[in-house]
Amino acid sequence: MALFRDRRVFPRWSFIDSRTLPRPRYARDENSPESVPTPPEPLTEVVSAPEVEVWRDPQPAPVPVAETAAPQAPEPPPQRASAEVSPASWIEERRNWFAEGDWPTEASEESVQLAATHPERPYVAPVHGGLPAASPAEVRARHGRGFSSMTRRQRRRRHDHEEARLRTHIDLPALESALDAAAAAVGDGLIGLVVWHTITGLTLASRGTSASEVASVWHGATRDVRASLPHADLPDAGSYHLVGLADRRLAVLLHVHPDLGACITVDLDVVAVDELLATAVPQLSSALAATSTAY
Amino acid sequence: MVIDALDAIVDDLRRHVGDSLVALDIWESESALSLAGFGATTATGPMLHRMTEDLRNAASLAGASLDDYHVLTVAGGIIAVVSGPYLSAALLMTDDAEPAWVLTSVVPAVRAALDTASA
Repeated sequence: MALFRDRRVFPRWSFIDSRTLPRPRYARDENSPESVPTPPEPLTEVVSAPEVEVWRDPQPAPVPVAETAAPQAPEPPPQRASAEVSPASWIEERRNWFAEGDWPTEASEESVQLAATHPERPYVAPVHGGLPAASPAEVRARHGRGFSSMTRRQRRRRHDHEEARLRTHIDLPALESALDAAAAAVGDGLIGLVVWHTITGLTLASRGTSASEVASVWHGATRDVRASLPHADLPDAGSYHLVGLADRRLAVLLHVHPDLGACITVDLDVVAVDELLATAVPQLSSALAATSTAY
Repeated sequence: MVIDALDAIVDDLRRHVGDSLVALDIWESESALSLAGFGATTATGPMLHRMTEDLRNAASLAGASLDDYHVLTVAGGIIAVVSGPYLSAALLMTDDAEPAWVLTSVVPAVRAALDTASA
């Protein structure tokens, strides 16, 4: 019996029988040649056949009777099998095996099939694509910050009804120049020209007598008309809408761009409709589309 | 209002517009009830009538007043709506019809036909 004072393992004073404790590890190398007990001389071979017969013998061993039992001879010392008493240790065997160079370098087909998860279905090993041909520096240069921000877990998931909308930059000086060009193309028959933002309905630029309220009103009317077309079993709206006004005026509502809307009001007594729709309206539409950039 | 004359108006507009005319609908301006036409669904006339009323309100808010017509370009065609005091009509035409020709020729013809039927 030993008294342990190691408080890391035994927090209190404990009386532990040291004989019940496991033997310290690595205290004695069991694979070393010294650890293998040397059999006593002379070495006798033992055939294992009698042991098999003993196992196959269904009859139990006879119970010795005290009265009739003769004095038995002293038992011979225990004998060991020839393989068990081989002087070569396990390490020596492995060393010899490695020295021969006959160890398998890859898994055999039989071992692969034995390692398969299904007992009957043949296992087909997946084709490994291998490492990428491009260097990590090249991949990083191509993909910017790398793949850390592109993982599925970190990517923001959008709902089904949510549309990924880009930001829009509207070049206001270019918009002003486009309005000047359109006003010059229409000429004296121009009554009003206003451009608005289709998301907010706010006026971005105007010419003539158009006020900001006019832009908001026409923006709402355009939006209502476009929304009503599918319910009327009609196709989607085209590039412009001609609205006849009193006093021979014509309002041309442009919706050629998703971010910009425009309205040109002209006097039909001065402006020819053919020229207006053939030159001025297409030029203004293209100029408006050029002023807006999505990024 | 001569209801029987509406079919004759439809035939006259067919001849005037030609093959570009795809659908035509004539409805009563107060109730948006369809009276004659072809090629249009039951929802086309009432919805176009409502669009016209929305445009009329927008024009009044903008300080103007809506005249009796508006022409709308759609994908693959042109829609012309003429709204009179008693009868209204909508024509759906293909891209072959020029908007300027629609404004200068088709709309006056429809207006005159509706005035004739309303008399």
